[in-house]
Amino acid sequence: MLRVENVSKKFKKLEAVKSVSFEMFPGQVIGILGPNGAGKSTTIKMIAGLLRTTEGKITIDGHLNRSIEAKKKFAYIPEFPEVYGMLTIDEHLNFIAKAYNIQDWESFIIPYLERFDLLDKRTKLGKELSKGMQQKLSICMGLLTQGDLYLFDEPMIGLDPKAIREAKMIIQELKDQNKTILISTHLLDSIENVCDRVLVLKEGKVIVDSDMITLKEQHQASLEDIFLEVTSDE
Amino acid sequence: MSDYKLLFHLEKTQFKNRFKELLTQPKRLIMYLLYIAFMGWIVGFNIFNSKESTIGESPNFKLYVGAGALVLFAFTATSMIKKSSLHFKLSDINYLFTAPVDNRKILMIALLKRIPTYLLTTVYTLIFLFSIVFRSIAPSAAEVFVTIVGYSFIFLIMETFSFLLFVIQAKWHMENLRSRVRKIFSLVVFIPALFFIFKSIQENGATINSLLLGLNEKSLDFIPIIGWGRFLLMSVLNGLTSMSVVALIIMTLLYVTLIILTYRFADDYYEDVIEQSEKMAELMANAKAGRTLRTSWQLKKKVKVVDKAVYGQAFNWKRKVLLLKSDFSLYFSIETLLCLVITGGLFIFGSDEKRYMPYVVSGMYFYIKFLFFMQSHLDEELKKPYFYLIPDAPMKKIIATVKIDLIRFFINIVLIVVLSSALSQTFESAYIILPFAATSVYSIMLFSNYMFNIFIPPKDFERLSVLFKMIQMIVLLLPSIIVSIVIGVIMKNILITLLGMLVVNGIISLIVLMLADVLFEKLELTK
Repeated sequence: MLRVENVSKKFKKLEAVKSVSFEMFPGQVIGILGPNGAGKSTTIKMIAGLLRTTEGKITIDGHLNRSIEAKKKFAYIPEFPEVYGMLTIDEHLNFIAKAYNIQDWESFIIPYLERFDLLDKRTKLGKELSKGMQQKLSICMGLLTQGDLYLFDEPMIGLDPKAIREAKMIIQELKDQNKTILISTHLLDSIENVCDRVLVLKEGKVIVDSDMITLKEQHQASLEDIFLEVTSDE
Repeated sequence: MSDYKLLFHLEKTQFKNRFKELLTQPKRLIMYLLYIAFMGWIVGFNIFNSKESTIGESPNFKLYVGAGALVLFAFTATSMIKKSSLHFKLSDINYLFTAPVDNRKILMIALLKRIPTYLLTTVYTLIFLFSIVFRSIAPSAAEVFVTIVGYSFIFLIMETFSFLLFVIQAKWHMENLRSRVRKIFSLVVFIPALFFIFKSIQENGATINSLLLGLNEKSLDFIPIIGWGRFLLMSVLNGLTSMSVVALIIMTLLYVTLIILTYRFADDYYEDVIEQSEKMAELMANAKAGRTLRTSWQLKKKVKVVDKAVYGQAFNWKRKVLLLKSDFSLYFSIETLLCLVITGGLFIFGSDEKRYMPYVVSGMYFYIKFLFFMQSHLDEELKKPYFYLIPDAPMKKIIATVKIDLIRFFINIVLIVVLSSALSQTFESAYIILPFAATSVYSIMLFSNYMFNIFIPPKDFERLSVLFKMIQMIVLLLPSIIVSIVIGVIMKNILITLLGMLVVNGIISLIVLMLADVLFEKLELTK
């Protein structure tokens, strides 16, 4: 579904991502972890086509990631959900439905709006929404694309406990529907049970690439402890 | 749905909502109407009061406008090449850039959206620039049209050209393309300009007039974009010629060509606009919050302020640090330069009695400060939690926050008085009191900023800040205005009038500050 081959990214002199490679298959969930500035968001933004790769190649379902064909296949849920201030929740969703040519979008999205307590706020403008509500809307917009690949960049930030639980359940549901999910987060316990595989980035390099079962067997510890151990400077 | 249809739908929906919001929020509508009325008043006032003025026909006026336009266009063009000003909303980056929509069509709409933006800005600028001479020059509709289009074209062409360079540089990895083009562009403008200035000085002597004549040399109108734009701008003063039509056609063709080339090559620009868009979003957020705009070099500037300040005095230390980062020095600011320019300008152009210059310039400075720097540093601090948390008396915190601003204002007024007194070779004893009296007016404005936050809901205050600040000024200055009028009528003495004003303002400032300790109990953090 997603193939990242020897991807590097340089910002002037800073090498933010160094030769990262991995591949994802349908139904797989990969957690991309790392300390601040490790290159997680840069990697996701490169996959979403917002940043160029300095080196390497990214393909989504065989198409170059910046092609229109590839864009039809993935949804990107950004780290900072800056929604359109002058569009209502409904208009945001309508826009996504038009952009991705989704028919009968309302019946698809209403259950999700209900789960995120947005149903009664459908006529509210984007600028009237709190950060948490914007994040919920952003997730709903991503879900509405009905893509095969979901790129979640810190999706839990700003969400209330109920919404975090819903988000975790939705990720599990997507996985059950054979969707591919790449998720970057610092809330390690929120993805511990749903991830098949973990990539740990540090200073732009992949320092751990392992499936969850092997990782846990090797370390006999929680994901948080493993993360702290592998990213420690000592 | 086709890409263009989708993009128009997005724009249309946002525009419709903005309009609906305006109609459903009368307070905001009032604010806009107030702005329009204020602008209309200025323009109307200028037009109807310029009946007898022949300034527009004066050759000196044309020289100043011509020279100013050339310098402005040259600097605008070179700085626009350095940094592309094209930006998108962060929501576009998040949701539109990642959607299956042709990125060149997104760009095309963005470029087209700039046309009305620049046209409106131009109309706004030119109305204020030319309204004062409108009656005496009595331009035709065609001349006004060509002037507006010519002025807008400078920005539209340079923005598109700059973006095209950006695209070419990224596409073919031509690392230094923009800086090279910028250098070439600078040389094309500055070498002929310097040549004609030098020639003019040789012929007419080293005077300001020679400089102006040099910058107004006809040959400079042939400099691509900048010269053509200047020529078109001057149509309102010089009238239309066949050259105007030629320049207009060339500029239009150039703009269309640049759009086509940009559309052709810009298939991979997302990364290039993200940084600028993020900066723009930050700038807008800062402007909305009333925060001072600071560039990255200012923030990085290393400063050291040695001060034993504790508790509320920490605000004074912080203000010093910020000012040192963003200005020439602690006590001499960009505003000081502005004051000197206004004084010089009024000395050259002003026809009033020169002895009134210090009063007029001080008044103008206060007016500009009120209009453009209405959001004071205290307003900014009142929106932050630590202003309430730091353990000290509110009165002390307010004084500490505005102390430096008052000193700077005082220094600027002193400079205005000294310079205008020296230029006009006049002196009155009232000049000595003027800086104190003017600063007393400013101090009331600053000290009382917190009061409106108590009585008016924060949201309403933000929406109608212009109105409330005006009310604040009128209400608090009313006593000193009345006293000044009474003293002025009875005594017919400026010195005593200013002293009266100073005393009344001093008492009111004191009351406002003392009330702070009581009223702060009612204040709460707005956000």
